[in-house]
Amino acid sequence: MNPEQLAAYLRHRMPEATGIAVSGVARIPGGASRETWSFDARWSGPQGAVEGGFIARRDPTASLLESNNDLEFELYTALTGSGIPVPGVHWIERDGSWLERPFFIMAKLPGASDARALVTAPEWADIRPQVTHQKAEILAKIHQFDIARVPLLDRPPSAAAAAPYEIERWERTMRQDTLEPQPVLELAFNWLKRHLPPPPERLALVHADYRTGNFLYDKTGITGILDWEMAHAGDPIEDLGWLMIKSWRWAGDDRVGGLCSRDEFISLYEAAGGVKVDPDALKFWEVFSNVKFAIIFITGTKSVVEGKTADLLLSLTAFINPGVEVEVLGLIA
Amino acid sequence: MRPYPEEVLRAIQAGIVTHFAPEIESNYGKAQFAFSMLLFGVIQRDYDTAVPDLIESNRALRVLLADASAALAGIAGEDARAARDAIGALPPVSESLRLSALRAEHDALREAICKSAALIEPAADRDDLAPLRPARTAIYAWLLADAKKRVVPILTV
Repeated sequence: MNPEQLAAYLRHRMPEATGIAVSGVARIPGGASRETWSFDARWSGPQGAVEGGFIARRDPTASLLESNNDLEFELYTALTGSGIPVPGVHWIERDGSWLERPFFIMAKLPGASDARALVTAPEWADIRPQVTHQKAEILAKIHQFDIARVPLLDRPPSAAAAAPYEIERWERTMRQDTLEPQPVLELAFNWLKRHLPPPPERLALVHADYRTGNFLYDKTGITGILDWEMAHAGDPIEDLGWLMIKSWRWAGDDRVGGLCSRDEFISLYEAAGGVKVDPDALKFWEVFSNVKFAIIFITGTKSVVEGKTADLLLSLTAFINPGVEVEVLGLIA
Repeated sequence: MRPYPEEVLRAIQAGIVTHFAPEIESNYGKAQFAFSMLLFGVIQRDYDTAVPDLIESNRALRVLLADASAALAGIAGEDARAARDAIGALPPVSESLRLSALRAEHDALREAICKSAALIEPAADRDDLAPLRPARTAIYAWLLADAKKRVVPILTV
């Protein structure tokens, strides 16, 4: 991706604009499911001069998971103005000829996403309590959002089917993508099927990757919630199970997301209008989340072995799985 | 002959650090470079012990599966019979010390656990599967120890 390609696309999208200039094109590390590129652009249009930072999210050659540009674009559009901080989206492009693969462009929000810095660096100590509260409050808002406003959202046939639907989705993915037998995950799937949680009262918007590291923050607190590519309709407690897994405890202790105790987060979430958290349901979704985490890396491993990607992150993530297996066995033994 | 392959790997790693790292300007490139250095570390870690580790793992898994098979004999039903059949159909101990042969044997043994998972997992709290409990405990303990052995500390929070 280069400035000329981006400028040509902006000219195509805004034929009335003049003086289009693009600079500072840089790929942002991470983004294991979709390429994320940052750039600056300026132009003059009917509303005057425009200058700002932008993000292009481009389909990858291969990734840790299959995801849908249209869904992410639709979600960002629907969530704008909802009180859930997301970047404003500008254009979605399905024609791969502009930037080699389909992509969409959105505004660049202020803030950093470095999870470990947030929870350990002294310079961020003063905002941690605020971020903790906001993280719980925003999650409660996500779960209150009307899923009818996002028609592309994948959804189970009923609230009662929320957990079996997700089990089926990830078991199918594992069987499709694994290159070797997975005894720990097989045992875990059996455990999950025998410990289904009570169905949620209603299907909710589930972010499905809500964690420290997937939001932006600055000295004012959380500025944006990112990485919605796995979002779907389901049991809201799924998000709580995901954010509590050991892999996101960036401070190296028991604090969930490196920020607060499990009980404190649940209290904050419930007080903000989130659903009542059933401990057995939470354990189910925590086991499920570890299993899902491992399967995401199994998919990445397949892409690497089949030569579909040169992204070394996908090679490295395969080696995270033994630690996840330890966690799973500790939960289900 | 020297250099051994692991020594060549270390030389490649040192060469990349010396010659290529200073040329990398983008943050994305620097991140990829860091990942490559971690991967060099990971692949060199178990290089020398890969063969004896697999031989020992395969031996231990055969003992576990033999115990599970014996316990399954005391459990009624088609599932238990199918699980026993799967264990009974395991390939013989590999005569080759090639990694490919040992890995194939290892995968077959792990697959046998997968095929018995529907019985092993619930054995802890289902009375009709009680004869499997000791085998279940032993298999879980082995899987846990095996996973811990494979953990890469720098990648674990």
